[in-house]
Amino acid sequence: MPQIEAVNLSKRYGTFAALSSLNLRIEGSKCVGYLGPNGSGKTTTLKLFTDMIRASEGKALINGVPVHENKRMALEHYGALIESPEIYPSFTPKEALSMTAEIRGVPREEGAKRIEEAVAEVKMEEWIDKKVGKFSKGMKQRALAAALLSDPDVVLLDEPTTGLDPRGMSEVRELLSL
Amino acid sequence: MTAKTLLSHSFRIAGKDLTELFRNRLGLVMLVLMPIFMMSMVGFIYPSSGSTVSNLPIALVNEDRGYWNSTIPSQTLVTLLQQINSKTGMMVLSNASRVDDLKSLVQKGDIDGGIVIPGNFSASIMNGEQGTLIIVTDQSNPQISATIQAVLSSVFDQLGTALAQQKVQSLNPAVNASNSLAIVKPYKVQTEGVVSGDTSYFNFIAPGIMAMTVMMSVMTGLPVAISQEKEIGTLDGMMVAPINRLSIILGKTLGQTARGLIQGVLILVLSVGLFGVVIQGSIVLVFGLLLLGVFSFVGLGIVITSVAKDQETAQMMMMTLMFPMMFLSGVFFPIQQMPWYMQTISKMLPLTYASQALRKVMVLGAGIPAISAELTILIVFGVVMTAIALPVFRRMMTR
Repeated sequence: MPQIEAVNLSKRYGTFAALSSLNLRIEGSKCVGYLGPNGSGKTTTLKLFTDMIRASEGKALINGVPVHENKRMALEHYGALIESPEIYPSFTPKEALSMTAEIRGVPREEGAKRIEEAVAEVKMEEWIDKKVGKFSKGMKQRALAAALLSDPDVVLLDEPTTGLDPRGMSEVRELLSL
Repeated sequence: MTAKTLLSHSFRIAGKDLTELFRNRLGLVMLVLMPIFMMSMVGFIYPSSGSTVSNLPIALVNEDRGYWNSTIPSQTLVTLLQQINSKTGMMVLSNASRVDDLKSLVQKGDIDGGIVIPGNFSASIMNGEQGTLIIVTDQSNPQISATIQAVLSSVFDQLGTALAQQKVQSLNPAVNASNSLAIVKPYKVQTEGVVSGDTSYFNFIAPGIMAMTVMMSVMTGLPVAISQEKEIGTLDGMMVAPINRLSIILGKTLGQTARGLIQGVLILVLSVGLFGVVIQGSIVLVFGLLLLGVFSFVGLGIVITSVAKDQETAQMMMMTLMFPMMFLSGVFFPIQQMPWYMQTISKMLPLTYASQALRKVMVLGAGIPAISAELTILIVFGVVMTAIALPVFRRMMTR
């Protein structure tokens, strides 16, 4: 059963505490909202769960595997959109997704099949061979969302609808409900 | 994570960086144009063969008053001077009436220098004394001034020798031309290089420029490869992937190495194909040195990129470091010409050893034993900088 856990997780920048002693355990197949005012440490938490930053104290675990100590194993069946990630502008969604699949160790044929499915889910078949640099923000979000559809156990999203128009927001929500 | 996965991820990242480079048409054009421009400029300005001195505008002032109405010595001198010049084409000779006119022409920039035959020239010669010739130079241009001095001194030396030979032969008709030369000049100097053929400034500068271009390629490429990705957000995508930080740094290094090598090879091809540089040593060793040069600069580049807050700062830091390196590493001028304290700084820079080793291999045909000191320094520098770069880069990625 998928599981994420924070044990006494803290992040300090000098004297400023961005996150203080977070203890959290979420398991099972569910969609959980992680809410709080600006500056409360939401993005910091997600960054700690993806090893984008180092914890000052405590541990972040995915399926029982500590992220910082064993990143590859912890993030193997895991997808994340933190802050505003971008896809390489000179790449097509197909190339970007192939690279992600390759890094995740998905065999080539299976990867190609999964990409096809994921692209169909986000309704981007027509755009699969177009350069990402020409995409609108909404299109980029869709392409990024496609990367998450490679069957991960855990998906972490940081304000995934920010900057999107109402239609884009609705599409992202639709994707999340799949 | 196995070494195989680590390497496979690194190659993927390097491949990604190169794909981006090849798709950025303007960037690619610049990548190719930069070494072409650099080598073309240097190559055409300082060709590897033929005389580098020609058509220097020189004015002649003949103030010789003669000796009992005879100006034979000065006339002979002018005739011989014109004969030698017509063969070599070193000067464009004109006449000026007075020394002041000659100086005024130099000040205006109409001529590069002048020759003055003083009023007592013929009298001195006829009285068995040494005749004096004056060379007037343009002090605002020390290089041309030195060239003119050297050229004219050599011409007058030839003239003096010819006159002395004539005199010896006239004193003793039994002496032939060859003997008279041996009497006038008992020694002749023969210069031989380590390898056959003449040397030139281009042969000196080409290996240095190769090493410098590789350095510039790495140092300017890294801020783009790392800081720019950090700024536009593509690095975040890589960070949340199950990929080791070492793979990222290795991938970036490989990408930059390939980029540097492309430019290095271009320079090599241009030097050999267009400007006639002969590689006396092993071409494999030249490539090996280029690779080693990249390796020694990459660590330094990564440290700077990691320390800098953004791409702009990283580029500024790189430029600040690159410029002194270009001038202090003996790329353009031999470091032996510098004062001792500058030579000490020069000996701390990897570019000095990269260009020195390349020069030894390309110009002198040196093998590995002859460049072992440079190789050792470059390897040690590269290893130390990479050892510093790895934790600094990891720290930068997970601040």
